[in-house]
Amino acid sequence: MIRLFRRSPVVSGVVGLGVLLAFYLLVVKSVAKMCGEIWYRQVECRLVEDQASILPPHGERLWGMYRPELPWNYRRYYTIADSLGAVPTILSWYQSWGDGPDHEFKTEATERSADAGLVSMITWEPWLSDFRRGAVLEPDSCLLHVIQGDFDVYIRSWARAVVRSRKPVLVRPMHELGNPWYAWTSPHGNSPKIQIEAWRHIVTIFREQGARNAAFVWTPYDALDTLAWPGREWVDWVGLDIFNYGSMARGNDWVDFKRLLEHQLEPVKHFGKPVILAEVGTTGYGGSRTDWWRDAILSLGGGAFPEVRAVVIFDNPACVNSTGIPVDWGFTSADGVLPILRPLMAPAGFRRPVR
Amino acid sequence: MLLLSALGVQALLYFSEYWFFSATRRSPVLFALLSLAVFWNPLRNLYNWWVYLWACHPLDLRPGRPAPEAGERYADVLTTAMPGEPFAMFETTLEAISRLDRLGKAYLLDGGNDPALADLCERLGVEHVDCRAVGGAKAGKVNYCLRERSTAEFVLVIDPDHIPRPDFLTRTLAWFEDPKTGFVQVVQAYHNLRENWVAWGAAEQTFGFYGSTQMGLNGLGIPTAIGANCTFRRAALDSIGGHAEHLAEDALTSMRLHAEGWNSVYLPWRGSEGLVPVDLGTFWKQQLKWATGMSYLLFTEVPRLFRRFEPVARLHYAAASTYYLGGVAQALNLVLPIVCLFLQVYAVEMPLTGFLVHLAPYLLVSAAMHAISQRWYTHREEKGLPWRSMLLEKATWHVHLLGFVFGAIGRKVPYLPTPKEGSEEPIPWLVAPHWAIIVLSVLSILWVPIHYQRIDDGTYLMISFAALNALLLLPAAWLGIRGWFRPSHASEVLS
Repeated sequence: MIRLFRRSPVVSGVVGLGVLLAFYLLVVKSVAKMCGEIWYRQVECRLVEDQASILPPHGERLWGMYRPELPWNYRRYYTIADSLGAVPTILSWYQSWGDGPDHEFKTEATERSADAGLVSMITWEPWLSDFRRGAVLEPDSCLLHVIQGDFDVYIRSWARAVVRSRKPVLVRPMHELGNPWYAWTSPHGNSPKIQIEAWRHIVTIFREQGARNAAFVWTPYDALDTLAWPGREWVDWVGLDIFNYGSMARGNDWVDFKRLLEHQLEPVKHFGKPVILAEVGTTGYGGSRTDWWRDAILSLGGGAFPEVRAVVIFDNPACVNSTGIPVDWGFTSADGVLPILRPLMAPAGFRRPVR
Repeated sequence: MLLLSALGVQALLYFSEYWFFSATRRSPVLFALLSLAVFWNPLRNLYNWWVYLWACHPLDLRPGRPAPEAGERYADVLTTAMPGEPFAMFETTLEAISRLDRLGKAYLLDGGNDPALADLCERLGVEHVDCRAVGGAKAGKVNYCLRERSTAEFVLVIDPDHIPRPDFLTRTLAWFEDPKTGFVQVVQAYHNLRENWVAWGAAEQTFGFYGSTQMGLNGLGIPTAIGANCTFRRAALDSIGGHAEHLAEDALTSMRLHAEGWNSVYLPWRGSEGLVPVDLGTFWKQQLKWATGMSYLLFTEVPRLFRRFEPVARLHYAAASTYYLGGVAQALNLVLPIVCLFLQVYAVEMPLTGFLVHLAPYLLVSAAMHAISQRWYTHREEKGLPWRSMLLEKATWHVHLLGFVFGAIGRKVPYLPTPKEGSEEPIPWLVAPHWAIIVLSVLSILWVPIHYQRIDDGTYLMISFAALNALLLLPAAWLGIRGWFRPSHASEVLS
């Protein structure tokens, strides 16, 4: 055999390459995987900062914002925070599930925001139709596929990326559990039981991967969604989305912030978790935005609503509602709102920047 | 070495898997082009390693038998002269030739019929041949002499800048003991390589070829002939209709001889020392000649001879004639980062650290492989990190590219002997492409913070490619215009 190889160098070269390729696929890859796993468990998982550090000291609230250009461009975000005289903390953006770079965990963006001392809140929407393989096109009971483990690889890749980013992040999957606009909600046959199972499935995968830095934000849509409460040990924060549509739809009224908050807070209070107002916004239909915002911040003052530990303003002037009508949820669309709110921020518990 | 090359393949597979399968591809066209640029050198290396595996001294190929002896063999020595070549060089070379042991007759094939050279020949007993009417450059004159003058069984064709050692023929003729041996090649060494870094770099490029590659080809039975100092069996040359007349005459001659079934021997021994180009202009002229010649062979002669080659020779000549395709890869390497940065398009979007971490094992293995392969180098001064030749190789991208294109479209490049004296004149037009790449690379890097909303992984990778390119091209680009800033040149211009 050896003599044959010596006699024909080309054949031996080709056979040698084949053997080496097989060796790589069978041995090297497994060894590399094993070493990678050891490195991940023994080094990367240990470097993670626990999510508990997000919670501000007693009596303080975190301020944050969503704007369409986040997380890539901070300029407007910082100007607004500066005008309000509040320490910017939470940076909110949205990502849907799927294949490809748009749906991967944005490691670079998260790390950059962490470097700037910010915490990213990613509203992570399980639209299951954007996968090349195994896409779920029908919303009915679609969360069953999550429970069955069809998307475990994807969820795991996120969990690992979260671990590798080291710093705490707020992860908000399946938000607004009863909102018919979304595929994962109860109106689409995803019963509270299914929602609980899916939630626990996702959290379990993150925990298995050692993602201690992921704080899970559970966000109901209305009081009925409390049926989908996964349990104290499965949730880190309760999220509430507070929107005043004003008289946009016939028969609807202008509702002030305080009433909306009281109404939504009541059913979730007893869960005993810190509350984050993950989206807060108002239209200008039937009232003054500026007044609405002033009253909102005023109502948070004097130690009211102690459960609310963070407020994220939803600042998007170019939204569309479920019927396709454009809606202006712009925070800065409210005339002169910044100087008016500035003196109210500190009494409402938002930390002032140290000069 | 076997173990190391196996490791190298693993390292390359590791990098390839990361490059091709880590879902960082963006534009398919750019990705394909960038992949060619990135993988060109590793693939060439893979081939080189395979050749190294077979490296051995010709004595090792005849176990249990004593070293061959020259016996009753004598050889004629043929060297050529062209007008303008320095007289002193001929004095030294012809003197050394006339002192050769086992010399039959020596011929100076003079393309200019210089009376001074004729006198010199007469004094040294060298036959002066007037070759003014003979076409076909060096090979044409050699063939003319073989046809009209020389009747020897063996001939040494040597360049006029190469000073042979007295025992040159004794050593090479011994290996014609085997009647199947068509030619014997020795090391091509240089005595002027310390003149500057271009000379050293140009010489360094040949160390690897003579050191390890030719030794490997020895083991494979197909060491190739180099025009400068190869001893041929006349019958072998006759069987292919004489020495090939071509830009890459040496390569084509060995191809034809191997196709005809002749064997060859490479002796790792410095039998002569010649001159290596000492300035960029000369070096690039020489490279253009070779690149055009080899590329032309790729499209014409290689396919024709392919079926008649042994399998090993097929692989080797395919690899050798595609060597200058590296110019295309190098050009892509230089241009793509600029295009990507300016147009904000992505070939890949991988983090720089990931790229380096995955490439590092391969770089380590190939460095180790290079270090080990230096054990076949014939002189201590040849060993060490060949940084000069790497810079020079990078700086020769435009010449290789041009040569490859010329060869592909069949454009004629005149065969001129490589000038034997250096020049310090600035060569702005020859380094203009380098300056263009450097300036565009720097501008494209500056463009990023001005124009980009965000700088992501793929951008950092391209920035580092562009920066590295600019940095590596700088020495040659500077060398090309340095003459302008020399006091002597300035005063010339002023006066």
